[in-house]
Amino acid sequence: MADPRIPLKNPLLAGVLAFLIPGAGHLYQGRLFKAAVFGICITVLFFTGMAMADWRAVHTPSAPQNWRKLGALKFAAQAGVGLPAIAAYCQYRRYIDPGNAPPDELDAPMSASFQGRVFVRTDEGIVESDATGLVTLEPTKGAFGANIITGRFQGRVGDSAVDYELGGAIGMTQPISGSADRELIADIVQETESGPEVVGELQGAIPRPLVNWLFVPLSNLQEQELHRQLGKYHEVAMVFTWVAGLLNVLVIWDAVEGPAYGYGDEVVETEAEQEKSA
Amino acid sequence: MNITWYLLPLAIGVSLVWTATRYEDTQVIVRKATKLFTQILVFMAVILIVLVTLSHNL
Repeated sequence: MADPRIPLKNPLLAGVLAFLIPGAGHLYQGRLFKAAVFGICITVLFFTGMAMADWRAVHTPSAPQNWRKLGALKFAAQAGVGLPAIAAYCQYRRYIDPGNAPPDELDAPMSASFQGRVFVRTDEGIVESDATGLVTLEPTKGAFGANIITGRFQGRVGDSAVDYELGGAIGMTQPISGSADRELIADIVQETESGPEVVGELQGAIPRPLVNWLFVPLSNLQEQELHRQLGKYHEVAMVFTWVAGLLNVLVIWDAVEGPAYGYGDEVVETEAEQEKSA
Repeated sequence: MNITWYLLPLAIGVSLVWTATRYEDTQVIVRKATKLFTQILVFMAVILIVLVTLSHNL
């Protein structure tokens, strides 16, 4: 039974609020000091971990069969911080949806900034250069009425401005994935008398919208790449998010049941008595 | 930044949240959290000294 001096109000509602946002349950109960302590400490720990891991620390396992493996335990520790955990689960459902596949065709035209490399065939061989610019892609009817993708690349290759026509094989990775960069490979084509001819290739990435990569499960390759990039800081980042999640479980408990050892003035009295007897 | 410095915010957060879920009184929370924070740092310092000593001349 909680101390009557502690205003638990509706403990269930407070618990749910504490789960969703650290400190929100205590704010609802009017326990402002604790709300501030929990809100600041857990949020700072959690987002420090997220930032250290390139905002890719929190995600569910990447496939249904992996929920029985260690990855699920990692997510369980983070799940104490509710809203990001719910978001991660929603992203998992979107990620495993069969519709989330590399596109063969486009529903509508799209344009995005591009960063990568260009490989152009010349008389001296293949010349490779850095490329930045704008990629525009659109759905088109190809030969025999098939739906294909064509487009343009306008930007800078090395030091010169270019305008390439894209066609042939244009491939992109799936729209929803655990990386901010969406890989794009496209043939550069040129109209000749005998028809379009492939003269080079564009390889690089266009940005994914935030909603299509934040909290999305990482593939094995993406996870290994993140480990390679961050090294031991990845482990520290994970520890921060795990500790934040586990601490919020204690906070939810406190919002529902009140503090584990009581109000605290009993401790002061006991210590005062000990000092007096000493 | 050396990875060891990340211990400080972690220890501060753990001390404050752990103690705040044990007690309600603000003064008690602050006093006990400070004590727990010091204990964590001393414990980690002892571990560090032990590891440095064991790895001496390796």
